[in-house]
Amino acid sequence: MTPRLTFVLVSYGRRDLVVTCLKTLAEHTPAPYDVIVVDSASPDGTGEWLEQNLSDATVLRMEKNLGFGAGCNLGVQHARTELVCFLNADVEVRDGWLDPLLSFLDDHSEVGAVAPVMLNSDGSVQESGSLIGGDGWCRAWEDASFPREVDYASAACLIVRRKAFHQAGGFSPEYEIAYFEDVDLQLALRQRGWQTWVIPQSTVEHARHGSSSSERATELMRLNHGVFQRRWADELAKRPAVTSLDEWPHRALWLRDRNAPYRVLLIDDRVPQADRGRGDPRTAAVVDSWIEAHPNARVTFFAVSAERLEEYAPRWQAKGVEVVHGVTDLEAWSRSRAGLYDVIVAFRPHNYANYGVPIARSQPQAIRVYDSEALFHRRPEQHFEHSVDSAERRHHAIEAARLREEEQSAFRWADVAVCVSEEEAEWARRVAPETPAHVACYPIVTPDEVPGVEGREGIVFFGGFDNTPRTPNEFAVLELANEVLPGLRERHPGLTLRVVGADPSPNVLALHGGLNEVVGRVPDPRPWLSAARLHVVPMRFGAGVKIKFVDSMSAGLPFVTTPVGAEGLHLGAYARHLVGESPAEMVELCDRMLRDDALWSDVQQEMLRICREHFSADGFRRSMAKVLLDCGIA
Amino acid sequence: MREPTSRTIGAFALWTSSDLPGFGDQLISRLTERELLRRLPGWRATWYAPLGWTRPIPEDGGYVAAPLGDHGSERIEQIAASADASVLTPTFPLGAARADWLYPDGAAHSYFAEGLDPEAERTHPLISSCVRIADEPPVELVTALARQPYLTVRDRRSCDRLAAAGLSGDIPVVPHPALLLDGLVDAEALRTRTQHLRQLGVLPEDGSVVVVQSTELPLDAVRDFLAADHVVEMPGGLVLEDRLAVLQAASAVIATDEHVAAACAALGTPWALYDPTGEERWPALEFGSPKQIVERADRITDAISAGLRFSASSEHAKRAVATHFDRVAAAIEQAFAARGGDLTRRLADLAEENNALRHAQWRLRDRMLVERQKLADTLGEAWREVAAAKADAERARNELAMAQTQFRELRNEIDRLALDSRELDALRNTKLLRWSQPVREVYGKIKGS
Repeated sequence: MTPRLTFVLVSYGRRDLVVTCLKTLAEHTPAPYDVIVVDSASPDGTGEWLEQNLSDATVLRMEKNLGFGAGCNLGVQHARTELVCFLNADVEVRDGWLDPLLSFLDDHSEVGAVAPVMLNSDGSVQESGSLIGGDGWCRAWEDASFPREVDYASAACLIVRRKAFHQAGGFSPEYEIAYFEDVDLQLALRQRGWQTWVIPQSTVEHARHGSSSSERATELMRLNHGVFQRRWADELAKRPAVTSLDEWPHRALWLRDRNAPYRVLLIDDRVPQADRGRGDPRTAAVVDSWIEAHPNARVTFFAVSAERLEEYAPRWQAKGVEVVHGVTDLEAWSRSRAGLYDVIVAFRPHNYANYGVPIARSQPQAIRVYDSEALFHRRPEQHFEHSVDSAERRHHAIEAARLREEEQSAFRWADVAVCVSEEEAEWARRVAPETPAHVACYPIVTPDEVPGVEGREGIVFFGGFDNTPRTPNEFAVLELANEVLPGLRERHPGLTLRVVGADPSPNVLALHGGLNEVVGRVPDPRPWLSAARLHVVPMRFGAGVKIKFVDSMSAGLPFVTTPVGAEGLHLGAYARHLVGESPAEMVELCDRMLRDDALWSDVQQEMLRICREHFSADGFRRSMAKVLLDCGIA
Repeated sequence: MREPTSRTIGAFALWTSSDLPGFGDQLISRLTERELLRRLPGWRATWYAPLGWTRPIPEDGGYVAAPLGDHGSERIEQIAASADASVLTPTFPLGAARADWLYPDGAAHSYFAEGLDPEAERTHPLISSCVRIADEPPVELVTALARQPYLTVRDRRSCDRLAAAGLSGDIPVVPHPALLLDGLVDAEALRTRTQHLRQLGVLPEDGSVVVVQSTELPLDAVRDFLAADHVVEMPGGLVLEDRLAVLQAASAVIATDEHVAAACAALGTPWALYDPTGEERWPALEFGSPKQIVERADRITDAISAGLRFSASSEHAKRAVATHFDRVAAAIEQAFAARGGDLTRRLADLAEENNALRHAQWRLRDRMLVERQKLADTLGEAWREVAAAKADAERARNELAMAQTQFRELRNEIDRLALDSRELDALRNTKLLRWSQPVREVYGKIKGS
């Protein structure tokens, strides 16, 4: 197999380090590779020894010590592979270090260089890329939680596309033996449109056994710093000084994110848990839209709660999302990022009030987006309508008024609003006529073919319960079990019910037994929805579009629900077959859907059509593109 | 953005000789790709070469070409499916005998001699761009070239050879693509590479340099004629950037191949062509003067002399190359449309994208105006505060001045009183007052009673 990668090492004495480095490399790098060792005129005979003893490497010897940059240039001149990896002899690679870097390069043709995270011998992060300050000094960045484009990453271990290296002219010979030439190279790459990324999935240990004495190192650093400042004066003039970062911490984040085309802060209850309902699948789709609009965008997700953070945050971080959580001093946190964000998106009214508004104070430049997810005041209004207890009714009335006011305030606060249905967007436009309100509901992939009526059986209830009593889904499933099913089972003895959804509450768990099965959380609901004959949800409380019904429609599973459940689903004339108010009405509708195969098939086709027309991934993408456009992002 | 329902972005393939170490092999591939992508932005370009990545070489500079592979139906189908059209742009002449083939075991010879096959080329046309033709081209090649929608050569002799072999029709002769070299490697990178080559001793550290591609030449005479400090043989094993750096750093170049001569013409480096084979002169005549080309080494100074006068390539020749690439791009677009690509939709998409960008820009501008207004208001507020502060300061200064005046007056009064007090004390200490004290007291009592 032809190698894709050449390791270029420059030695100056310490042949033991070179040998150990190559040995470790061989142990942890299964793919074929070439090795070129350039000896920079080591005074202790290292070059000669390497030439005689390294049988699997090309050893080049320079006549005088021209340093790291010249050595690397010479090495690359002899390389024949697509990629070269500059490797210091004091770097110890680890198992699986190479694949994430190569995969990233393969997937991103605009990336010219990638680096792993450098670790100290105690496992702490030594460097996850570095910042370049306006004073020409650099500072290592130590947060290695997500991959990102960096100003530069140390050439102690750096993979570069050979063609990008040559386009940039290679390491500049203007520098003395060491220091700053790798910073220079990566600015030269960037100037030519190439990016440098650090990929945290790859780590190596860097012992930092430099060959120069510290006095000599200081002198070289001083000299090369001057060269660097002279060569990149225009670029440095645009940046804050590294020496000012301790006094003004927000400047560090400015430097970190200065290459991002836009910086967006998304604020929601928790890191989206797409397989757990509660509006999270939609939030996940919205976050994806912000990520996909530009691969270099800095997307920061502010999770108010740390709920299941360890389980769900890594998959977002792997996509390049910075996940923030556990902030105790909101004001200090906001100030540490003063002026950073181009856009702030607050999901749900309580996050707008508790986090969006205070954070926006330190981000006066940011465009404010309020993503309502649903109109929350509708729920207490519904409780008010259904409740018979006067104290409860008073409580719900007060709560509805408070939430209505909060939501009105949120839509007025926002520069751009996003709703999940046209009806809700209309309300938003009425209360905040100055704010453009977009509709972006929920994207779903509808398969070309779904199972027909044959082989389907039983009823399914699909929805998350949050292991909490008195949630809308708990009310709904209890009404189904206690008020709809008995009547229905009189007509369809043996009719089974499966309750599918994460974190069932004790009341829901208590339904399990006999013809009822409480399945709980499933990784993918589609097989359950594809096997059932009917989805029944007597939903009395809730606002916006209920994603469970969109999932149901895309699986070709007809459902029966209430007017609250059917909101925003574009059912049109078919609502008469699917939407009932009272339990008795629902029994009738369910009965018909269970008996009439022709009607069932007709409804199924209509549901698939609705899904393709109103809930397609393309439609969602187009809607979100409009939101981004209104934020000035194209 | 609308979701495309049909293909609006296409792909083209380049059949190159980039897996050979020659300067021209690298140069023509890179230039052709750049020129076509400039005209077909966003398209995908795939490089093919006889051996491709199965035999990587340092000279390829890390540009990866896929191997053409066996000339079997499966591979032909794969190549045809990978792009809308293929552009043939090798440096070696088409139609060379298998025995003269530059690759081992005749690898990929059939591709360049026969094309794909008539069936595959119906939907995936081949376009020969600035190729050369070997002497007495075989009939398979002539048949294959006759199928091509656009065929150009880079020298008149190739044109004549095809005509002699029976290929009818007008075959345009286009000057060497290297004439469009400008910007292929940016000036800063070339400067860095030159420094690097000097550092490594490939180029002398200082002084003027004449670069030669052949040591058969009378080097001393050349050096003396040009009053150069050094004569350097064109180094081998370098990537394109390094070789361009060498050519740019030279005060003159004596080339032995058309590619180096063309690159010098583009770079503005005086050049002469020593052509003992009589083959290299033909393409060079399309961009240089006949006087710059000699077949005998002892005539080289005459050629150099001419080179010093005619170094720069003509704008006319550059325009001809640019027009040629316009036509190649148009031919590729036609192939794309014939395969179901939607050029109209592409325009519509671009218009929509343009609208989106304008909208985003308008929103940002709107935002910027609001921010500017806020900034100006804040500044205005600050200016008012500064003006008020200045007035306050002025007032305070005046008050201070008045206070200082009053202070001075008080001080004077105090001084005067102090003087009076001292005089009074002195008076009280006189003998007259002391001795008359009893008398005055008595007088006082009498007056008081």
